[in-house]
Amino acid sequence: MDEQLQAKRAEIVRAWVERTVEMYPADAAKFLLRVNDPFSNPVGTTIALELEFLFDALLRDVPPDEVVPRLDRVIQITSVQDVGSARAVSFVFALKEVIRRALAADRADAGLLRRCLEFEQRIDALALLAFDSCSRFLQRIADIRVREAKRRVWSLMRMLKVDWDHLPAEEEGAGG
Amino acid sequence: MTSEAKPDQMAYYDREKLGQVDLRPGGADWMDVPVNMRPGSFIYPAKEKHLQYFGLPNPRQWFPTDPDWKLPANWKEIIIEGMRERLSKYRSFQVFMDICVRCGACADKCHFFIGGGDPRNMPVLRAELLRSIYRREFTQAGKILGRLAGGRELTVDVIKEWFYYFYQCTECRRCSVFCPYGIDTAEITMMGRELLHLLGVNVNWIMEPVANCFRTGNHLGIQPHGLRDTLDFFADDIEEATGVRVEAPLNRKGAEVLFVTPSGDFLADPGTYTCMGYMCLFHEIGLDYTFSTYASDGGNFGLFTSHEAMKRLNAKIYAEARRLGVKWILGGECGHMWRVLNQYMDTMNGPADFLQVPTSPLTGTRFEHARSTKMIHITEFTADLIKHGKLNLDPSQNDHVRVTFHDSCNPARAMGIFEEPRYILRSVCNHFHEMPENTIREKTFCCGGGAGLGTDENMEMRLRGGMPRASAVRHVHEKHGVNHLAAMCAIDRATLSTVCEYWVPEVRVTGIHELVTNALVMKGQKKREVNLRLEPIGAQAEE
Repeated sequence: MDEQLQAKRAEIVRAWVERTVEMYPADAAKFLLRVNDPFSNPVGTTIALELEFLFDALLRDVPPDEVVPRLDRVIQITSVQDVGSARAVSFVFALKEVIRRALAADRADAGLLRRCLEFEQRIDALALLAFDSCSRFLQRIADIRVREAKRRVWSLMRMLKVDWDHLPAEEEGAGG
Repeated sequence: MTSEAKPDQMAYYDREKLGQVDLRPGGADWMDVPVNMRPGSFIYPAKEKHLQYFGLPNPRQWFPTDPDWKLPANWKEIIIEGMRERLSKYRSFQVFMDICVRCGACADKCHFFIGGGDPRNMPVLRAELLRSIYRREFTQAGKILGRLAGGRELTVDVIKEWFYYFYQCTECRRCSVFCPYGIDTAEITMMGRELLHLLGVNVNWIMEPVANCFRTGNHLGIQPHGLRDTLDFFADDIEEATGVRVEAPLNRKGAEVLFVTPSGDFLADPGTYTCMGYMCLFHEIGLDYTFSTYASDGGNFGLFTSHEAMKRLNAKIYAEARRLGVKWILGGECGHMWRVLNQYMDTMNGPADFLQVPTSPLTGTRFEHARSTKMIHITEFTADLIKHGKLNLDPSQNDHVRVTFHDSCNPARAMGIFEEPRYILRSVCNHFHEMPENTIREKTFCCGGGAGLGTDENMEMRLRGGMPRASAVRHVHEKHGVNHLAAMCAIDRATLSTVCEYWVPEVRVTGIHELVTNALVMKGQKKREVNLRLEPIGAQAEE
């Protein structure tokens, strides 16, 4: 299975990136796929770079601690797109369909379905990590909202000797 | 799924359709897609009392997701006449409506489009929201051919769309840099907002500061005794950090210089440290200056409201300069304040003939470029001090700081002030690193919170808009270990703190004069072990 996927790696990654970017309206999707400069198009280039890494990681079945920081880069973007949590993580599931289509020509292969299902278990594991990541970023936004509100009246609170320990602690060396 | 079954029954789920979830948005023409008021993207409406205080029309209770916005009965007539008046009054508005050829050069330059992907945030399309009405109502082709000529009818849905998108533009003018015709898209947004104001469609985050500033002198509504307490409190903190007791003169008649800074520097972290920085600097050089309570805000949210509001608020600065009898005005680290000053103040309320051309009492430098407005930017003043060797600086006190510089949109694009802040940062820090070329200077990316968008109800939108800036910050963080982002704008300091916390939590935001003072060796100071934030400095901080 891994060899079959490795052989079609470029095709699969390209299709996966295109499917992911389809969450945006068509005019935006064109821009996200076309512009290669990471500072002119941080969203599109991040998605392309990280999905390529994630696909390779799935092939190599690497441990979660290597995957999560790179997965976070994508989820960090999708979590603030106002599209809802389901769409924020939907790109992971889209890979299943992308792979099935890529391997459609090989369907005469008797063992393909079983091997496909085995590989999809890795995708499911990635999806669970994506749920985790998404909820972490949503929580980060909630914490930031509180901290920002308090920062606005910082000197007033200090003059009133308000206890600042009630602030949500900043995340230590949080990735992303 | 069948309508009889309930969600906890298997029959509810149609197995054939269950896997056919299509998350792709529809591909209809933008004119056919009504605006979807998404919470997290719009800003709450202005409260009645603020409109009443400032004498603005149609104060009432309403909410963007209400079907009925309680517009005046003749709302359409008001808008058409409002457009007619502005087209005749502002030549630029007429030209900007006519000359766009929809080349698309601006389309992918807006931070909200880059970070969020909503096509109506392409500057060309955002302008088209207004231009389509102009074509329909004011051009022969549009009147006859309608949609074929790019025109469309003015409806309540159009008003809702304007509200949604003209408050998703920070008037940063990055798109204008790339427009081959020089269309200032910010001015189109300004016109759109002015027209909305005629119907009482506006946001509280702007109107409350405007009303506050008109009443008390600053956006936050800090009253004179509150400002006195605040500055004294800063003096206490400065004494704790440096061992030096500084004064903060307030409303002092006969001072040489009136100092005006954004009121965010009085209350909000981390702007407060920048304010302490000014106080230390002025004390150290013995500047004969005063703060004012009447003109206690350099910021001017009138700019985000209407030309009348901008003029009324700006006039307070000159009135106070006249009352106090100062010679010239020095402005603090603010962003849009400098667009008002550099591009509008002289026409609105100038020339300030009763003042003198700003001249540094320390170096004798005459700031000729400000001979009409009589007001200069503090980085011009401080860079001149450093250039003439008037400050005793020890940059090693900032050795734990690896800093990059965010060009604030208005000082960068509205006054072209690029070198002075960099010169200062290089003089007070040993580790300064630039972000990539296409994200700085005149091409700088907005923080996502300018033009009155820096509130919390639209935080997701601000985080999307701040993403292009944050990706450049992350680049220098990963490449050079940058841990501080310096900005000379109060809105930047507030909103970039949030942007960094989300995208690059390892980087914190600072003002320039906070870093100046942390490197400043003050006469009579004790051994400096902590900075203005009362945190360890220099080598101790690195350990």
